[in-house]
Amino acid sequence: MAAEAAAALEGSEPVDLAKHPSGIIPTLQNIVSTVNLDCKLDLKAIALQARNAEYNPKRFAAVIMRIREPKTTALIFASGKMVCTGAKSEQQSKLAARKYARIIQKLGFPAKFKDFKIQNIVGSCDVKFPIRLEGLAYSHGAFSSYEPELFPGLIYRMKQPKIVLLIFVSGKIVLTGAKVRDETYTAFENIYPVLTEFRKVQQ
Amino acid sequence: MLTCCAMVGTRGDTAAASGEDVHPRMHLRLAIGNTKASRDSAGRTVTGSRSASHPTTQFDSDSIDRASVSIRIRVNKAVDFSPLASRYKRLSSTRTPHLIPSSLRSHQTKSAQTQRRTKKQEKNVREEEEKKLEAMYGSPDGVRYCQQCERTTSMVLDHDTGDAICTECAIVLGNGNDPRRPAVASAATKHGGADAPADDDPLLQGSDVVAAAAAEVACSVAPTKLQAEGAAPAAPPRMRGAVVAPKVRGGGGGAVTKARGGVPDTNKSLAEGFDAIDNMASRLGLAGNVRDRGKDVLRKVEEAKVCARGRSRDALYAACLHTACRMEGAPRTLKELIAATPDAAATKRNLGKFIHAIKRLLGSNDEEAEAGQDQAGSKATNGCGGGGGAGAVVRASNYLLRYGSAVGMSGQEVSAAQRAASRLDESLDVRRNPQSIAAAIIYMAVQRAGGGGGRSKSVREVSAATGVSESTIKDAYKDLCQHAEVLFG
Repeated sequence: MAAEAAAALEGSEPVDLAKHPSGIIPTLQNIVSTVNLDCKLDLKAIALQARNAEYNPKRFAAVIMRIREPKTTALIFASGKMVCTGAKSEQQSKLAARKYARIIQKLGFPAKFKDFKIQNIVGSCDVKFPIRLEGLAYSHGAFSSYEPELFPGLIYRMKQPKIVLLIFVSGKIVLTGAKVRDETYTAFENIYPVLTEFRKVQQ
Repeated sequence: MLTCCAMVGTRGDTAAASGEDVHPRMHLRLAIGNTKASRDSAGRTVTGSRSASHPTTQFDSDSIDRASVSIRIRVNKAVDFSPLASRYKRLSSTRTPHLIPSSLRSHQTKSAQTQRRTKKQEKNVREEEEKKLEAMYGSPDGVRYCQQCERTTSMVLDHDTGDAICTECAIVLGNGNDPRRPAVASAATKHGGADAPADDDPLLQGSDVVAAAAAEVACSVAPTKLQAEGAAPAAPPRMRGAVVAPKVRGGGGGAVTKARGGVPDTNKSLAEGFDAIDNMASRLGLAGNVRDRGKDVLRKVEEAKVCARGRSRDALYAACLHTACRMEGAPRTLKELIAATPDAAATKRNLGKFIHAIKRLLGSNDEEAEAGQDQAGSKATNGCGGGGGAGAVVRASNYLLRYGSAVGMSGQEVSAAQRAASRLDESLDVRRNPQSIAAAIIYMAVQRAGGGGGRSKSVREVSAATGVSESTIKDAYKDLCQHAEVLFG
């Protein structure tokens, strides 16, 4: 999918306009998933035996483990629950989670792979024109929160699908809170007409 | 508050003792009036002239007074008001001169002798019957119209104060000086006739107990009120507590408890908030209407219980003031508001959360939102393309007037800066804090004016006046410098 996004950005591959009428496909930036290894873990032993593992019980009650491919970070708790972050696609997230589970098994724990679930998907894209955030905040006041003194972007809480968008003056958009990829795409297609309506015209 | 609590406690005891909620309260009010009237008459009587028969009258009055006091001490113990006995004695002693009005001296002497004989006989009878409470008042002394019962009822005369007490509802009649003389005269006439109507003992006993208890409370309340009045100039919170007392007194038995629990807390927190907002507004130099609106916002927040969690109260007050400044068209930066809180305790994050909550609360109220928008719109000096809502979102132009006056710019320069800010909003894509943009525009305007008129201000002076750091002003200036012709041309 990263290659596909790069191709879309380069403009060498046509975009499916039936699915993306705006002609822009948000790029997935981060995926957070959880899995249950279903066994109690000795975090100190894991930290001692495994490479790329750090464990500071006073600071955080989980082992922080990283792998290079896919480039992800895992939080491994004593209860057997694990959180995997940093993947760029759902398949990569699941692959990374399986790799972490495999490492735990090799350390001598009877780890399983239960209840894998995608918890959050973060996407971003650029509409390539500046946006009048004040007008957008005023006309969509029920969904918008724009305080330039607190945060430079406009926080848009879309109801359906339930996605939070960060809209910046530069035209860059961040979409977060999705559990399925299509939610991100649908949210962007919903907001794109609004963004064009509040396009800031350069003189 | 201590005074209010003490009063409430005392009244609670009285209500528990008597079992009747209405009569003690009404009796209390009338008794307070009686006390003041008695003191006035006592003051005037002391200056009266004396006659040859004065020593004899004084002796008789002392005897009657001592008998009454001794009886009352027993009543006090029975009703369990012993801590207040000393006050009652003091108040009783002040009434001694009252028993010798000059115009009724001869009548007083005769009636006193008659009463003494009657009281002795009655004491003997009641001591045998062990009914000590009845001895305090004796048999009914007259028949009068009772306002509470709305009909003519039997009256018992309190010989110590000259007040008539209804035997049906225990209300005290006969206030002031003028009604007292006819009462005394009618009492003498009745004694001459010696023809009193029969009366039920249980009713009389009940009335006596209620009247005695209420009188005790009445006597103890007056000094407390005097203390409260004396303390009023020094302690405003006590004055506020005194204001709350009448509302609590007016309610019923159950309502009193609920009112005491709820109303003072809300009023107290609102009062604290109002004081804090006044302090912050005076530090920031805000106008009266801005702080009034801030208090209004705080009242709405308290009523809606939006920010009831245990967060920083200072941040809440700062957020209310921030919203008020926005509505009045004179926004203040978060940094300034944080600096105005005591010890700068509020953080930007807390302030942001409160601001967001207040905005959602006021946004749900359409009427308030329209009012805010109208005021903000009317005060905006520049037009907004596409209905931008001048009051909803702060922008650089809002700060230019204040920053311009702080730096010492002239009116022409400030208006030029405002035009530049509006052009920037319309056409340029600047990704900076509006405060930084305002400071940079001020700096650019000062530089351009300085070139022509020989004056110039350094970045340091603009930084000191606006509160934006020098490096930020320089960086923003670099961003805007390439568009100087668009802004100021």
